[in-house]
Order: sequence, then C-alpha cells, then structure tokens
Amino acid sequence: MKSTPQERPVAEAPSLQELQQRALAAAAPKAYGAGAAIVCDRLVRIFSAEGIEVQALQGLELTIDQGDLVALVGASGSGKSTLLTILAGLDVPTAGTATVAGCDLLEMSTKERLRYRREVVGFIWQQTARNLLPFLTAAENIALPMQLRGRRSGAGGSRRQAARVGELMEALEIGDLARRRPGELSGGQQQRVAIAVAMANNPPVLLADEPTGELDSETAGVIFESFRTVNRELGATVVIVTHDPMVAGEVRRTVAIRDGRTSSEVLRRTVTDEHGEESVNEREYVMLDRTGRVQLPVKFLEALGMEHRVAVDLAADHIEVRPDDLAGH
Amino acid sequence: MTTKAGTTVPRPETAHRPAPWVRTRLRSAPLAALLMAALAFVTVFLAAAFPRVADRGADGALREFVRGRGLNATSLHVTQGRLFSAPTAAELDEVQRKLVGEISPHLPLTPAGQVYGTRVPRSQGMLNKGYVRFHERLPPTLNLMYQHGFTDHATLTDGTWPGPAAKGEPLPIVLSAKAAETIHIKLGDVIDSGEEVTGPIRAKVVGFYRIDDPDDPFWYGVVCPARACLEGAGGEVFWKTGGFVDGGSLSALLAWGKGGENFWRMPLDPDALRADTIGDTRATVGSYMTGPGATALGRVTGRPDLRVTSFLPDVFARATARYEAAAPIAAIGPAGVAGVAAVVLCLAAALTADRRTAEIRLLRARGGSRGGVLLRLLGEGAMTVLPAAVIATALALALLPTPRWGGAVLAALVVTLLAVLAFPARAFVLLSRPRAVGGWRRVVGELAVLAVTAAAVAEVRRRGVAPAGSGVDPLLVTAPLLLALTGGLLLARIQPVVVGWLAALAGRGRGLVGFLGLARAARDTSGRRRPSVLPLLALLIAVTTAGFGATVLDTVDSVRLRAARMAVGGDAAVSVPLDSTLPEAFTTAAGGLPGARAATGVWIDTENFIMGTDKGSTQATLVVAEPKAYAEIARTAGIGEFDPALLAGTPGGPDTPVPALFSRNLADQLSGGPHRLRTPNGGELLTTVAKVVDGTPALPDGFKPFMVLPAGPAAERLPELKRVNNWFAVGDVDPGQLAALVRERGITSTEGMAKLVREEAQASSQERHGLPAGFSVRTSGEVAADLAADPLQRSAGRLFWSAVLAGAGFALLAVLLTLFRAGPDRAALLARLRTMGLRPRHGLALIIAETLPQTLAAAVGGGLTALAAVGLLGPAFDLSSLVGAKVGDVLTPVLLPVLLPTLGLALVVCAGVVLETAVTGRRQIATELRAGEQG
Repeated sequence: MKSTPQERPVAEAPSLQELQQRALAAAAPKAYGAGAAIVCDRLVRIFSAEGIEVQALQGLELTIDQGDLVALVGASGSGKSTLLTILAGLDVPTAGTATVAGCDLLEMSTKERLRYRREVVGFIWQQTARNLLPFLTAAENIALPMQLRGRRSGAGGSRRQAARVGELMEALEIGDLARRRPGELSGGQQQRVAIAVAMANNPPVLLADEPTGELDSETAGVIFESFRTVNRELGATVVIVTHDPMVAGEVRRTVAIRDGRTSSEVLRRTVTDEHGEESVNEREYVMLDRTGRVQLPVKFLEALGMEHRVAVDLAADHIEVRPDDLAGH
Repeated sequence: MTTKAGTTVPRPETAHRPAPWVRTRLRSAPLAALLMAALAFVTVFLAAAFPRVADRGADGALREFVRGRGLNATSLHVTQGRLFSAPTAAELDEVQRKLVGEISPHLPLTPAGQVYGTRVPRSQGMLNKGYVRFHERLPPTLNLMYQHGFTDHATLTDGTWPGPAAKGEPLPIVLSAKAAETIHIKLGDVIDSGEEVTGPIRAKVVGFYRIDDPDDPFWYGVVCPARACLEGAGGEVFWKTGGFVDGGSLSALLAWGKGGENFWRMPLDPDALRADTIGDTRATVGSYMTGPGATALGRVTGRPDLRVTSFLPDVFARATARYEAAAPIAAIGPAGVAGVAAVVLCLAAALTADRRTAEIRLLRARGGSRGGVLLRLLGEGAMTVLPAAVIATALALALLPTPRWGGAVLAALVVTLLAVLAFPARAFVLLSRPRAVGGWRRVVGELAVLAVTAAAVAEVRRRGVAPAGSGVDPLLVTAPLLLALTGGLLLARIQPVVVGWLAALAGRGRGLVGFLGLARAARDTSGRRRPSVLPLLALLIAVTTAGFGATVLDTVDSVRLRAARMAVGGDAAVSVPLDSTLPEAFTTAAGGLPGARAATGVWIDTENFIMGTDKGSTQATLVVAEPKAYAEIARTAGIGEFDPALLAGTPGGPDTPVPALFSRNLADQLSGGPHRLRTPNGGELLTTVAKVVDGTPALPDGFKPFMVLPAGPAAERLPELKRVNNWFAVGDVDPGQLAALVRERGITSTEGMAKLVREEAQASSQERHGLPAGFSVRTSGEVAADLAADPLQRSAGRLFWSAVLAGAGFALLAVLLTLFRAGPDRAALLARLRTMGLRPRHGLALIIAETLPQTLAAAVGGGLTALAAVGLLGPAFDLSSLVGAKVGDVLTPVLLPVLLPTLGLALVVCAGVVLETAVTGRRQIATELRAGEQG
C-alpha cells in the first residue's frame, strides 16, 4: 500500500529518499479507487437459471468515498439490486473486483463473509415486513444482530447491548416504540426500526434497497432524514438503491445505472456565491471508464440524431462530439 | 464505575434487552409448536408402543402355548429310582427344600403342582372276591403311592387317615369313596394281592376320601385318584384305582409294590416365562437335565443318583419355531407404519423449513452464522419435541408393562432424533449454497434404491421361507417397504408427466377449472419449491402396507376356513360312537336346520373288504351318502369333487353293480370289472368304479383306501347300508342348535356294559356341547375359531390392523399438512380468479382437480405395489403359524383385499381435502380479498 498524504510528515522538508519514493509512486500505475469505502471494478454477475443466462452486471465500475451518501438509480432490471446484494455479501460476483471497507468480496472465506455481514455492512430491504422478525419487538429486533454476533460476555454485555439499542432508538426518534411488534408499527416506523437494526453493530457501510418503495412521499422524506442522520451522526457510508429519480434531490451524489453499467451521475453541492447566498448546484456527469469509454445520455443522442458513429475533436479544454458528418459513406 | 453525587446512571430499559430466542420464537407461534409436539408425541408413542405390544404378544403366546402343553410337559421331573432302602418322609421334605432352593433362583417355579413322594412301579391286582370284574382273568387293580400333603387336598368321608404300617400287618391305605363304591370295596377290607416270596401282599382300607377339587394340579399325574377308571380295550376291561399310604410306611409301600422310586415334580411357572429369554431358560433346563445343573442338584441334595427329565426343551423349541414363523408377518405392519411416519416427519420438517425460509434468510443476512442459526432451530425443536417424546415414552412404558424396555426406548430415541433433527437438517440444506440445477444426485439416489430393492426381492425369493431359528429377517420385513419406496419414486417420476399430459388435454377442451387444477397439480411435483414427493410417498407406503396386510389376513382367513372344512368334512358334521346310529328323525330334522345348504346322513364303516384286488382282498372304509348333497359338500369343502350324476346308478336286482367313487390307492389295486364288497355283517354288493378321487369329505385325512357309494342304490341292494352314523352338511349351521338336535333326537339309548362304558367316558370327556362321549358336533366355524384362538395369531392380526390404521392416519396427516401449507398460495390464486368471475363452486372443483391426481395416483400405485409385493414376496412367507394348522398355501395376489384399503384411503383423503377446503379455504379467500381492498 502506498503511503497516504495523512501519514506523511508535514513539518520536515522531504528527504531524497522520500522524494524518490514519491516519484516512484507517481510513476506507478495508480491503484484504482484507493481510500474509498466502496470500489467496484469491472464487476460482472451472470445468473443462469434453467439454461438461460442473464448478465445482470456487465463490467460495472463504481467508487464511493468514505462518509458519502449516495443514491443508485435506474430502471427496474438495470442491475442495481444485484449490485446491492453483492455489496451486502449475500451474493458473489462472477468476475471483476469489489472491495467494501477494505474487504475483497470475491476472495472472502465463509468465515470472513460472516464477519463482514456482522460488522462491515448493514442492510435494509424494500419490503418493510422483510426487514424485521414479526415475533420480536422493535427493541428485540434491533438487539438481534448483536445477539447473532455473539460477543456478549454475561450481564455486562447484555447491558451494553441494551444501551446500544436505546442509543440507536434515541437517534432515530423511535424510543417510544421499543415494546411494539412490527405488526403494530406503521410502514415508516418499521423502516426506521429496520435502519436501527442495520446499524446495530455500527457498520461503516449501510446499504438500502428501495427503502421508500412502499411508502408515501411524506414518510419517504422522514426516512431520508433518518439516513442523513445515520450518515452524519454515526459516520456511515450510505448507499441507497431506488428507481425514484426524485431521490436525487435528497442526496449528495446520484449514480445512474443502465444495462448493468454505471452511466451517469449527478453531483449536488451547496455553493455560496459572492453575495453570500447559498444555492444548490447540480451538475450531471457521464462516466468515463478506465479504458476511456463514455456512455452518452440517450436524450442527448436522440436530440442530435446520433447513432453508430460520431465525430470527435479534441479542443484545448474539452472534447467535442458531433453527429457523423459522413453519414452514408 | 463511580458516579457523581446527584446524578444517576441511566439504566437501560429492560425492553431494550435482547430477547431469549427459543422462548420468544415458540411463544410467537404456540399452535405450530403444539402441533409439532403432538406429532412427536404420537409418533414416539407408537414407536415405543409397537415393540412393547410385540413383546407382550410374544410373551402371551409363549405362556399360553406352554400352559396348553399341560403340567406334565412343563415340569422338571426329578426322580430317584431303584430304591434299596426306604426313605423317610422327612428325608423327602429335606430333598424337596434343597431342590427348590437350588432351582428356583435360576428357573421360575410355581408352588402350585409342586408335589413329591414315593410311588411304586406297577399296580397290583385286587383278588378279593366280590370286587367287580368284567372278565374272569382281569381283577381290578390298585396303585398305591405316598404323595406329600395328600390329606390337605382331600376330605375324609369315612374311617381315618392311614398311619404308619406296623411290622407284619397289612399296609394301611385310603381310597376314594367313589372308586370303592364302583368296585365294591368296603371300609376295613384287607385287599389281597397275592403272595410273594417275602410274604403275602396285603393292604388294609382304613378310610375313604373325596377329592376337594379335581382340577387341582396336585392330582395331576396321580393314577385315578378321584374315581375308578376303566382300563383295557374291547371286551377286556377292568377297573383301576389309586390309593394313598402314610409317609411313615414307605418301606412297607416298597415291599407292597416290589420296588419304587422317589419323585419330585417341579412345574415351571408359565406366567414368568419371557419370549426373549427363552433360549437361556432352555439352556438352564438342559443344564439341570444333563450338565452342571444336574451335578449341582446331586451335590446339594447329597443324592448323586437323582435323575432329571423334562419335555420342556422340546416345548420351548416348538414355541420358538412358531414365534419365528409368525414374527416376520407381524413385523411388516409396524415396518410400514415406521416408513410412513418417517416420511411424515420429514414432510413436516420440509414444510416448516419452507414456511420459515424468509425468516432464516433474514437471520443469515443479519449476521447469523450457519451454526448459530441451526443451533437456534435445534433449540426450538428440542424444546417442543423432547418433553413430548419423554412423556410419550414414559406413557408407553407404563401402559404396556413388559420386562423388556431396550427395544422400545431405542425406537423412541430414533424417532425423537428424527423429529428433532429433520428440520435443522432441512434448514442446513437451505442455508448451503444452491447446487447446480439438473444434477445427477436424484437419478443416482433413485437408481440406488431401485438396485437395493431388486437385490432384496431377489434374495428373499431365492431363499424362500426362512428356516426356523433364524429370528426376524430384516430383509423380509423391509422388502415390502423398499418396494413401496421404489414404487413411490417411480410414481413421482411418472405422475407429473402424465398429469401434465392430461392438463394439455384438458386445455384443449372448454372447461377452465380442469385445466387449471391439472396444470397446478403437474407443476407441484416438478417444481422444486414444494416437497410433494413426500406426501405421495407417505400415501403410497400406507396403501401398500394396508393392501399387503389385508391380503395376508384375508388369505389366512380363507386358508383357515378351508383347513377347518377339511378337518370337519364340510361346514357341519355329527358323528356318533361306534355302537350307535343316527335315527332318521334326526337326519330329516337336521337337514331342515336354518342355514343348511346341503346335508346328508352318511354311513361310515371301516371294516369292509373289497374282494379281487391284487392282494386278494383289501380292507377299505365304506362311505354311503346321498350323492347330490354329498357332491355339493365335496365341492364346497374342495375335497374329492365329483359329479352326482356319476353315482346315480340304475335300479335293478342285487346283481346290478352300484357305481362308486374309489380312492386312488384302492383303485390302483383293482383290475377291471365289477368289484365285490363284503361288509362286516357278511353282506355283499357289486360295485363299479365311477370315478377315482384323492379324498372325500367324510374321511379328510384320506390315507386309507375308501369307497363312496350312493345311499339309494346301495340300500336297495343291502338294507344294512341304510343306517346312518354320521351327518354332514354345508352352509351356516348353528352348532348349538345342531347339538340340541343331537341331544333330542340323535341319542339312542344303550344299556349294559356299553352304558357303563359310556357313562365312564362321559365323566372324563371334555366335549364342549355337553354331549355324551363318542357323540360329537363339529362345525367349520368352530374349528376355524379354535385354530384362530391363539394369542400369537391374535397379536399378529391386531398388530396388523393397528398398523394399517396408524399408517392411514399418518398418510392423511401428510396430505393435510401439504394442503395447509399450500393453503395461502391457493387462496391467493382463488381470490385472483374470483375477481375474474370464478364461482366458489369452481374453487372447490379446482382444489379437488389439483389434489385428486396425486391422491388417486398414490392410491392406485399403492394398490399395484401391494399386489406386486404379494406376488414377489408371497412365497417367502409361511402362513402355517397364522392359520393355526400346517398348510402349504402361499400368498398369492388377491384383488379384493387390496382394493378395499386402497379405495378407503383414497376416499378418506378426498374427504379430508374437501373438508379442509370447505372450512379453511373459504376463510382464507375472504381474508385474501379483504387484504386486497386494504392495500
């Protein structure tokens, strides 16, 4: 592993040896996505059922930084749920690499995978009922992952777990629901309990698959607020999969997935202009993969009637893409 | 941790604590837990009960068999013969004590019938004048003995009990008052038995006694203790009686009897015998007869010349052989139930796993390790199953007491383990990574079962009936089960194809319901999610077991009835003593008895001769009967059938020959032409051979030469043949009525010595209808009942039927479990179809169309498997022990007994399906539709 800027001694001037190292580091091919919470590189997942093969992920590349709050959007069947299942450690990719918080998802043994599920990721499903065991109270559901992790050492451990449950419920404002069973909770409450369950072991990464799919928009807003809380207060990297394009307004970064690849993304920043006024700046990007391929938005292509071939010119600070002027030749 | 004053450490609420998994999970679904506990309870109880029932049956059969052999056969007889010096009574007591002390720790002895004393080798004639003699040469005889304690078992009616014999005086004895009356012995008589070199042999009658209880085992084996018995045969008969002397006159007794022996009889207690330790008991008895035990007896008593004899080894050998012949047939039923129960337990586990897949997946996703999740499931299973299993085992042990508990506990343990482990094992498979589709595992497994079944059947057929002494053959017991398993697997392969084909056929028609139902039925078995091979298998094993069992019992019944008919010679028979005949009034009245289909009086006489055989003349039994009725009797009994027209004969003078049936062995000695028959009275008759037969109802054993003459023509030529001394009939004749008729009209009076003989015989006879000796009324029903009145058969039959019932119950449970599991799914489908305009009536039809193919396929397949099992394995079963008589019949496939349980089970299952649909289906659909509205 290369030395990171944080570890470098700042006070002293660099020695010759250090300069040499720095030069070597700069010359060496850069490790893809170093330092990020989630790194997917040319990820492929092929399902085969009864003789038919479906390629759900076709060389997907994705990097998500630590502490980020990211939404993955895409039409149904675009592969976003597959990606999430892989990231949750419930499925294994066919090819490529996927690293979450330093854990290589392809190379993990059964034991490591178990530890990964226990300590590294938390997961929330779309169906509110599927996240919780119907016969346990909200508090018991939240305590379950800690119980399953099995590090309880007598009464002290039990008390620590109870304390953690209380803390989580407090943070998600569901403290008064502790004794209720999932059947007695509304959809939004259930989903917030589910977030608490997912965060029980304090994982660095939280994954959610359509967490607001079954909720009305008002409740969905509350849920997103919870995610932001988790992201902000508990410091977790949050990845939310949704097919709802409105979500883009709720998160910092939205990545669109099309046909098993990341196609474009929207970054949302709050900018303060020279008058001191804050405005939200949204900018859409398309993804440039490591071999230089770019997937252009369909509406751009349709607008200019581009197909098959485009003309490309390099300008000083940008690249021009124009319709094929030699069409028919 | 230290706290600042005034602040409190926030204590976490108890509500935030983790839940104890097993308790919480079980409390959340108490009904499912209760049902599982109930299933475990019933299954474990049956598993523990079957070995106990079998054990009790075996013990009961052994005890009853041994008891039925009589005291003589079941005792150790210790004797000390060739006595040189007379023992004293005290010495005999001493030896008795030592013998009991030595033997009873090793063998269960019963005090009843334990006797000892001194007896003499032979009787002495009573030469006194005035004593009753039938023949000048044959005086009445007396047999004297000393048997310890005889005064306690009899009452003195006259005189005194005998005391010690004084030197030179006659030996004082007591006799039974009845015998004294018969022989005309008076009190104070000195019985003279002639002279020996040592002096006159005399005994003085000092008292008369009356036996308190003739059935007391104390008197068993004593020569004529209660009354005088008639000895001898023909005209040469004489009275014989027994008498007792005091223990103080043993040396006088030896002198009287010219020798004697001491005896000690040690009867075994049949009620303490156990079938499982019979080998040890036999070895112990053998040891006392010749072996270390015999030496020990000699040493302990100080009498090395003691001899021990007993029939017990032989009795035990026969009992064991009987038990071993019956055991495999009795074990097949429980084996079938075990198969069905195992399938049901697996099915319950599979359905539970299916129901809880989502929950298990969630636990896994939330970081539950495979081991952890399985441990939790195991904990749940243990909490529900273990208490139920313990109670069930305890109940089985308590309700069915028998000394052996190992088998029951082992069976209960196996079932408990299966019940506890099946669900976690299934969940383990679910938690493992999914295997590649279309693997070879199923095919390989099926081929393995097929190969094992083929090997088992081939081996069983090759070996035939297992030789006695080989115990229960596991191969024989599991072979039907294996056949059923193979049948089930084959059916599981064939059924989806056929049903799918049917569905395609129905799809072409206009009705929707049939197509939908059949399509779902076809998908059920081919789809991987639902374990529908298991209910099919459960049903099939149940039907096969029931069919097989019913065939065995049905065959046994019919074979037994045939054996009984053969023994009786039709359905009812009356015979009279040698010297008497049946009056015509009786035969006419008996022919009119309700139920008698065909009846005829028959004259049977053994002392006839056929002249002109290759030996000159041959003794043959003559049977004279009315041909029509007798032909019908022969046809029904299946012995020596003939056409009555053959015996019609032609009216004519005494020189016209009478057509007759000849036995084969008689016909073989004859050359052509009419044959002259000579009766004992000197009458002669010409006969011709109308047909040669192998046997005839009147003479069922049929080894001796015989001939059957038609009554009419024979009597016409020889009037003495008009008499009748037997009566045969077929039909359902009530033995009580027949016996009453015999008493009323059949008994001709006799007098003189014959009367005396008859009275004597009547007193000692055990005829069940209270008829005089020599007269007998037998019906095939009674004989068959006698053959069946054997605890071995009863327990085998009972075990069979309870096995059939239990199997049917489990099979029904399997189908219901599957239905319940598929309920919500089906309700959703019905609700959807209902929104499209399906009527409720159609809904029921749909469910039946969906369930029926499987049930019918299983029922038909089970029936076919049962027939195949009977056909393939039948020759390997020995029915004799179940029939009660030695028969050579083998099991052959019979349709009716297989058809009945098949149809019955199919009907019960269909009724269950309809009921389930009618009750729960409707409710579920309503819920489903309401839920749709809410959404």
